[in-house]
Amino acid sequence: MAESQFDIFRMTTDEVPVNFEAGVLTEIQGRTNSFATCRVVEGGKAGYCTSNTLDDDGLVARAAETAPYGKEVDVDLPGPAEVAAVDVFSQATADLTTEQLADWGRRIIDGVRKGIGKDLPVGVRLDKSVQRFSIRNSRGISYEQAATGLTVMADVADAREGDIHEVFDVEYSCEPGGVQPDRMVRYIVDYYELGREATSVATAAMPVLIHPFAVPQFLLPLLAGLDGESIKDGTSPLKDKMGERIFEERVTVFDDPFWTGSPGSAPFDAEGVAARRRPLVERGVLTSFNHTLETAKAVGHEPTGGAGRGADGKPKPGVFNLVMEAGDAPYEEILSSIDRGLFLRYMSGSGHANNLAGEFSMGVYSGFLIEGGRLTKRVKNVMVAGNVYDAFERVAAVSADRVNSWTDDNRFALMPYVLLDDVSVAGA
Amino acid sequence: MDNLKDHLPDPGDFPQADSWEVRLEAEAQTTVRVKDGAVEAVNRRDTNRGNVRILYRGGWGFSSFNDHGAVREHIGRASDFARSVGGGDARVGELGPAEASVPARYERHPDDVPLAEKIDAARSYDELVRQHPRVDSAEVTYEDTVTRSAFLNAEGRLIEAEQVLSRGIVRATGKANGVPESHAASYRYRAGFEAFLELEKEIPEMLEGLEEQLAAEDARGGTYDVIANPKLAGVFAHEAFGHTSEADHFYRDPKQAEVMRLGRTLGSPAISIVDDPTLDPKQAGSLVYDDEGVEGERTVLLQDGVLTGHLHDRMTAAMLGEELTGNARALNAAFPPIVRMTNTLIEAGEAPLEELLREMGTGLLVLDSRGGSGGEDFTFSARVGYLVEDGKRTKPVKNFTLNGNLFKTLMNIEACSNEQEWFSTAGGCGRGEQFPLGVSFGGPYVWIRGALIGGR
Repeated sequence: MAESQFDIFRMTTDEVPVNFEAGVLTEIQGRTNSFATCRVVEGGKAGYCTSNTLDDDGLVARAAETAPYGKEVDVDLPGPAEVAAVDVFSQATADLTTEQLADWGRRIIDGVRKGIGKDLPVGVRLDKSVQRFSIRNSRGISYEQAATGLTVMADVADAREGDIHEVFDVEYSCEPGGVQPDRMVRYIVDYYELGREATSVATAAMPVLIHPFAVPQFLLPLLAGLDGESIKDGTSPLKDKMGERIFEERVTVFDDPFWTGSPGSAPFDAEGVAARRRPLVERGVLTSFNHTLETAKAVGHEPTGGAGRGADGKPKPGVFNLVMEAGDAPYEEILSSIDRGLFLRYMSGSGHANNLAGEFSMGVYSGFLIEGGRLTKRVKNVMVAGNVYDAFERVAAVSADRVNSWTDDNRFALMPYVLLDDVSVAGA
Repeated sequence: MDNLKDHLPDPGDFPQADSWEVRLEAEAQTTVRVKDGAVEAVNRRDTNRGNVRILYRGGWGFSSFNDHGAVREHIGRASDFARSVGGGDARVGELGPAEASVPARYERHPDDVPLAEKIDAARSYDELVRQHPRVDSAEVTYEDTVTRSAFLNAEGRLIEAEQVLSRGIVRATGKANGVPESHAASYRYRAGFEAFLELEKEIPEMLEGLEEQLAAEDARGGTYDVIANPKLAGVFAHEAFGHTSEADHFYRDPKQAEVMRLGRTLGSPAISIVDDPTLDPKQAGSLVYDDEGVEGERTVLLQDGVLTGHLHDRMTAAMLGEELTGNARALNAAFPPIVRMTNTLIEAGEAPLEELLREMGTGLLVLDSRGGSGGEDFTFSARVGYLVEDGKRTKPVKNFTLNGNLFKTLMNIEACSNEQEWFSTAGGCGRGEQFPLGVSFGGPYVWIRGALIGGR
C-alpha cells in the first residue's frame, strides 16, 4: 500500500466593489471570503474536503474520512522545487481608498456624459481585490503568493422598444496605472456614436474581424479539447493530434503564468506545480494539453501546471493566463483591408453549442458592419456559427496590437484581433 | 451546534442607520461524482458566512465575512462604506415586524443517510446508463446541501430557517460519426435524499433524447416558424422576459422604464407570464421569505400580452412606488440580495400541441435549450429539433440556436398549447457574479412565427 499523502490549498479574497448605477454612486461593498480545500490520498484512494472553519489538522482528518469511499488514484504530489518569483502584488492597489475609486468612477461618468449627453444611464463598477493563496503538502512544499487586481467596467445603454444600444468597456490590471479611465471614456463615446444606426445582414459567408474580448469566446472549444479530463477520457477530438497542425500557422497560444499585467499570474498552481510559460498551439501545431497531476499521470504525460481549485475541492485542469502571440499588421491596417464583413466585439451564448466537438453558434452581442475598410453600422439579430477547427484554419490576419481580455471561466487573457475568412453568418 | 441567533446584533448597534439587516448562515454540503463505473470524487464542504447591509442617508454599505463572531466589526465596515457613498437617494419602504422559523422540507434528511448509500445510488445510475448500447460514457453527480440561517433587520424581522437542497445530474455521452453528443437528466429541489431516488424515472427519456441527438443532422440557418417545447419556452420566459422585468435594470433609467411601463402591450394576446415562489414548495425557486425578509408572492408579469407587473426588491419598489413582490435574493450571504426571479412560467393556452403542429404546417419543433443568454436580444442553443412538414414531425436536426429580439418575439407568439410543464434543473440562474441561483421555469408548447435560427 502506498504511503498516505495530503495537500491543502487555501485562498482568501478581499474585494471592494464600488457601484454607480445610472451615474449615481449607490453602493460600496467589502467582501472577505476564505476557503481551504484538502486532498488526502490514503490506501491509494483520494478523499476531499473544503471548509472555512477547520485548521490544517482538522482538514486532513475530515478528508481522510471520505478517502475510503473515494477514487483510486495514482498521483505523486510535487516535492520542493525552485519556483520563479512572480510579482503581481501592488501596494498602491491594496491602498486605494473607496474615495479614490469613487473619484475614478465620477471621472468616467462625467467624461461619457460630456461626450454623448446627460440623459443616458452610465453604469460603472470599480472592483479592487487582494487575493492571498497558499499550498502545502505532505512532501514538504509550502508556498504563498498574493495578487492585487483592479477591474473597471463601464457601460451605457440607450433603450428603445425592440432595440437596446449598449456600449461597454472593461479594463483591469494589478496596479492602478494599468487602468486608464480616459481611454474607456473615449472608447464608449466613439462606439456609442458609431452604433446609433443598427442593421442586420443577409445570411452569407463573410470575413469576420474578432475583437480581443471575443477571441477567447471563439477559443472555448479549444480549451475544452485541451482539457486533461477529456484527454484522459478519450472524448477530446485533440487526443491523438499532438504535434499536428490544428490551426492556421499564424496562431500561437500560450499559457503564460509570468504576464506581469495579470492578477492570474503566479509561480505555482493550486497543486503546487511550478509554473512555466507553455505553448498550447505553436504556429498552428498542437504542443500541449492542460493537465492536473492526476490526468497527466493517467495518460503518461508530464504535469503542466495551470490547475485551479475551487470550493468543490478537486483540482481542475486549466491555464494561469491565456495569451495569444501578436501578429505583424496593425489592427487599423487589417480593418482597412476588408471590403465587406463583420467586426465582432462581444458574443452572446458562447459555449452552449457542442463545445467539445469544436462547434460554436453565437449571437452578436456587440458588433459592427465593415464596409469599404471601416466600421459603418451596428449590427443586431445576427448569428455566427461554425467549427473552431475549420474556422481557425482560415485565419487571414492576427494583429500586432493586443488588449487585456478574459475567458468565460474567469481566466485573464491577452489577445490580438483575429481576422477569419468565410465565416457563416445568419441575419434576420 | 452553533446557535446563529446568538450572534445577531442588537438594534442599538446601528445608531444612525436608516435601515439595516444582518444575515448569518452555516452550510454543509456533500458531493459525490461517479464516472464510468468509478467514484471520481467525494467532497464534503462546510462554510460559514455572514453579512451586514446598511442604508445611511441614501447610500448602501455592505460587508460580508466568514466569522460569525465578527458581526460588530463588520457593522463598522458597512457603516463606513455607507457613509462614503454619501448623499445618495436610495430608500426602502416600511416593512412591519415579524418572527418566523421556516423549517426545511424533506422525507429523508441528508444527515440521516450514510455516505455509502449516497455513493451506491450514484453508482447504480452510472451502471444503468452505461447499459445503453449507444452510450460511451456516463457521469453522475449527487449533491446535498443543508443551510441554517438567521436574519434580523431594522424593523424587527427575525427569520430563522433551515433549508435542505438536493441536486442530481445523470449525464450520458455517445458518438455520432466520431462527434460526441451528450444529454442529461437533472434536478435541483428543496428536498431530501428521496429526490435523488426519483431521478431514476427520468433516465429512460433522457436516453431516448440522446438517441434523437445521435440521429440528427445539422440544421440549416434561416427564418422559421417555430414551436418551442415547455423547457425551451420556460428558458425564454426566464432569460429573455424575466430578466427584463427585474426592476433594478430600469428604476434609474427613464427610457427603459418607459419601455417597461405597466399597462403597455408588449406581446400578442396569446402570451401570459407569471413569477410564482408559492407554486410548489419543492421547486428551487420557491420561497416563503426573500433575502430581505419580504414574503414571496405570485406576480403576474404579463397578462394576455399586457405588462402587469415588475419584480422588485425593497429599494426598487419604494423608488418606483410599486408594491413589494419579494424578489430580493442572494446567491448566499457573501453577496447582497439583488432582484431575481423565483419560478417563472408561461401560462397554458387552449389547444393541444398536435393541433398547433397541424395549424403551423411547416416549421421547426425545438426541444430543450442547452443554455444561452437573455435580455432583449437573446440566443438559446437548442438541444435538438424536428423539422415539421405538413403538420408532422419529420427529420431530427441539431447544432442550431434560436435568436431574436424579446419584444418582436412576444408579438410574434401565435399560440400556447394546453400542456404545461415546469423544470427545476441542476443548473441555475446567473446574474453578474451571483451564479448559480436555484430557480425553476416552464410553460406550454409555444408557437412563434418567423424566428431566426442560427445554423450552418
